[in-house]
Amino acid sequence: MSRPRRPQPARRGRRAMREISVKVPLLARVEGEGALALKVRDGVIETLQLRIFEPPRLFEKLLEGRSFEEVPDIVARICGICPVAYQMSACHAIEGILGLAPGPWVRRMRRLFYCGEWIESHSLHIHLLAAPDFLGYPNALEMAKAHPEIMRRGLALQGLGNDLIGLLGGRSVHPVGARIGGFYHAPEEAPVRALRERLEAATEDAKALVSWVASLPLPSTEQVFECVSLRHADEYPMNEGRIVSDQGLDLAPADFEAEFEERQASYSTALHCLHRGKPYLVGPLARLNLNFDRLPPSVAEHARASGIAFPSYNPFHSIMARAVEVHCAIVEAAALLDRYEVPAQPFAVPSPRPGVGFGCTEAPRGILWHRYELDSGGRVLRARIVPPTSQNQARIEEDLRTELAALGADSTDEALRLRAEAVIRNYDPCISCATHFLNLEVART
Amino acid sequence: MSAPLAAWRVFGIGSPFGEDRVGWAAARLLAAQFSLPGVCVEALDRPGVDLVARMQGARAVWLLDAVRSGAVPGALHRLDVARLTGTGSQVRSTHGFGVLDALALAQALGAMPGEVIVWGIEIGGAGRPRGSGRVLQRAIGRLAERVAQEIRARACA
Repeated sequence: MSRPRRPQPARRGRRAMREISVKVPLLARVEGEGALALKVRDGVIETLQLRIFEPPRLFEKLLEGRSFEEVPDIVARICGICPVAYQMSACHAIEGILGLAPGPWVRRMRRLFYCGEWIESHSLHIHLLAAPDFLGYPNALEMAKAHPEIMRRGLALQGLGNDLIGLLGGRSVHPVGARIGGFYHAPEEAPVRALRERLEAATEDAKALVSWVASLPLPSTEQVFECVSLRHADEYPMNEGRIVSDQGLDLAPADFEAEFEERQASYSTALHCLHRGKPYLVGPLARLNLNFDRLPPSVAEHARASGIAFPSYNPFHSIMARAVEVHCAIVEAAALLDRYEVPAQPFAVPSPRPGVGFGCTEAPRGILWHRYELDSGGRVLRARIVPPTSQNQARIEEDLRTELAALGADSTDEALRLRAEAVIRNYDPCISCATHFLNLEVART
Repeated sequence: MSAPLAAWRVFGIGSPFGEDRVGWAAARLLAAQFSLPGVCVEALDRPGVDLVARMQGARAVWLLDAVRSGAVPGALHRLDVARLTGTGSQVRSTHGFGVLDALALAQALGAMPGEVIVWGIEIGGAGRPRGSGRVLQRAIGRLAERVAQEIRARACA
């Protein structure tokens, strides 16, 4: 199949034109509604703002007064793609308050639940949202026509992830199976065996996906940024770990607020979260940069053989990190189901007590931090949720500034828009979670 | 999601919430009241891209869904799939991936069943007149009957 021509930067704009204003009505293939405002003076970017105008969803206020037992079902409604992350961060935070230790079966199944979400979310982003940018297709439908076998493989992987979520969650969209202390229902052995076989078969597909992504013509760039993720003593981080960075940060989730601060940006309904006043990166690239040594050996070996080295400070290698994590999650999920036994009871019984608790887990898009304060009856007094997209928002602006300057700020509006969209999509921002398409306004003087 | 093997499949599309359930209700009524051997009838909860796999290999698929077009609540729409898939789906978001997107993706992949029939039940907007619940209930019954007739007509052909 012949490859279409990659979009080329159009000819530079004429300097004699002092002021240009362009509006692009929609940024496709990002989750949510936003706009990018760009001011260019004499070919230099003066102002760059990623504006998110989706109305705030007020989930934190909605949780106040609710029983701790209702929290996992309420927070699962925040996102249809990463509900498991919201449920897991909440469960860990609340169990910390209740002094509840759900035991090894629940711990293993929560990791399996998370594997399902990574496989599902990453496979969707790679195939439907990001890859068309790198292959020069206007959308996933055009890519599907040219590469049907690639798209079918991606959809099969995504379906496998969904089915893993459904195994424990009852359904893959806004699952209802998780509860404080574990799960309402333990899967029977027959569906577990069937999924174990599908995972075994999908391992080769995941390896092929990693090799295919490594072969994509990803832009070559290197930037300076701080990577932040969880780190666990002996496993690739999902549900547990300390918050670490490549600049020496190492703290317990309870201490997040001492180092990270959310700020209101006047042009955005999503808060910007900064580390000591500076942007930072969370998500698959940050995780892999900080935890490559925690990958299962077969996954690390295949990633190394792909030719892309980690740590990498090319933000466009995020798609590669996602593919490696799909492979990782499939290998891990298969191992978790190898030892599966139906437990006598799939949950530990909680009893309410007052206190403050913290949970931080690795959502597909990066660390998701929760803080809850409960009263003696187990009702939520206060809740705070810091999603990955608000943590990445300042980093996206920083990346846009670097990439658009490198492209040439006096490039045509169309060239600027295409590159800006690719940069933003690369982060898989979930604007719905953070508070949704991009209108691009360029003012040139 | 592993795909069903039946040649004829009926999928009620929706969610557990409010009138978005009418597609599910019609599918369940169809399965409960009509003897349709060899026909797969399922209620799917916002299947998104999974719908492509669910339709794969079928000779004919019926999709029953809630519709808002401005028509009176309870009106039944039999929609033209060729026109639906030509209305500009670009797969803009994985969060809002709907039936139209799934049909467009299946078409792009060459994975469309031989026949896809989309039935919609008009649920109306926020200012629905009183008694529209009963109207919708009757529409669910009428739709189940129409789909059963269409399946039987194909079985006899």
